[in-house]
Amino acid sequence: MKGRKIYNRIAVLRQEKGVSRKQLAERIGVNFQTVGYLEREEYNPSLDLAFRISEYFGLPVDMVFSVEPMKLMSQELLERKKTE
Amino acid sequence: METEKARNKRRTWVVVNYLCLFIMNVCFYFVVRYADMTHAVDAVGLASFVVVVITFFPLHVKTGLWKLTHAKTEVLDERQVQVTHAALSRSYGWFTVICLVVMVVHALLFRLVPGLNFVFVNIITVPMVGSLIYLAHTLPGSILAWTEREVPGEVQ
Repeated sequence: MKGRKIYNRIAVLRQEKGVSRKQLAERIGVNFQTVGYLEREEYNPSLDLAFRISEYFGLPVDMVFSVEPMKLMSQELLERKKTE
Repeated sequence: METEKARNKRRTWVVVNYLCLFIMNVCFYFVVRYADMTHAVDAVGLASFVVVVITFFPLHVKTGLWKLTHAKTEVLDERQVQVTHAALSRSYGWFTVICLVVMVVHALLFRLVPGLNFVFVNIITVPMVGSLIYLAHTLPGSILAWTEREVPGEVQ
């Protein structure tokens, strides 16, 4: 069974944090090429890996991963504020 | 673009490697089968063998595919486990088909080619057994070389 595509903000968050793919890979315990696959959204991570990545960036999982194409972070935060 | 180029290069190595393996088997098969064959066939067989050995290194060793497909699951991450398992299951299927084709070809050859006697000829030659062992070990890596965008030995 082919699962649905999972979108993510890993590339943006990693660049914001100023870490390389290799550094991120070491922190989350995967091969650096896996980070590349994740960033290009060519690989859907397991729940465990998704949590590890979110924990590393200090964000909730739904801010890093989504089943719908990612909006701009500022736009999403604004929408969240409105609904609160 | 670079990754696409690298993959095409890997695919070329796979084609050259297995094509030479096939040529080598055909040459050695006929050399074994007909002792009066010329030394030219022998030479082509040996040359093909050398090409197989030479192409093995850039295709399986330099790319890290040999290490990846022969590594224990504990040392791989979840994506690597997923892709190697997929490649292994696909290669088992291919390997079974190849073995069956070899057997069918042998069986048909003895029926169709007059003068060949099943009882007196050794149907499985040493190069063929060696080639089947080689195939069993390299097929998963070759499948990964063919399908994967990036392999461990290619630093992006």
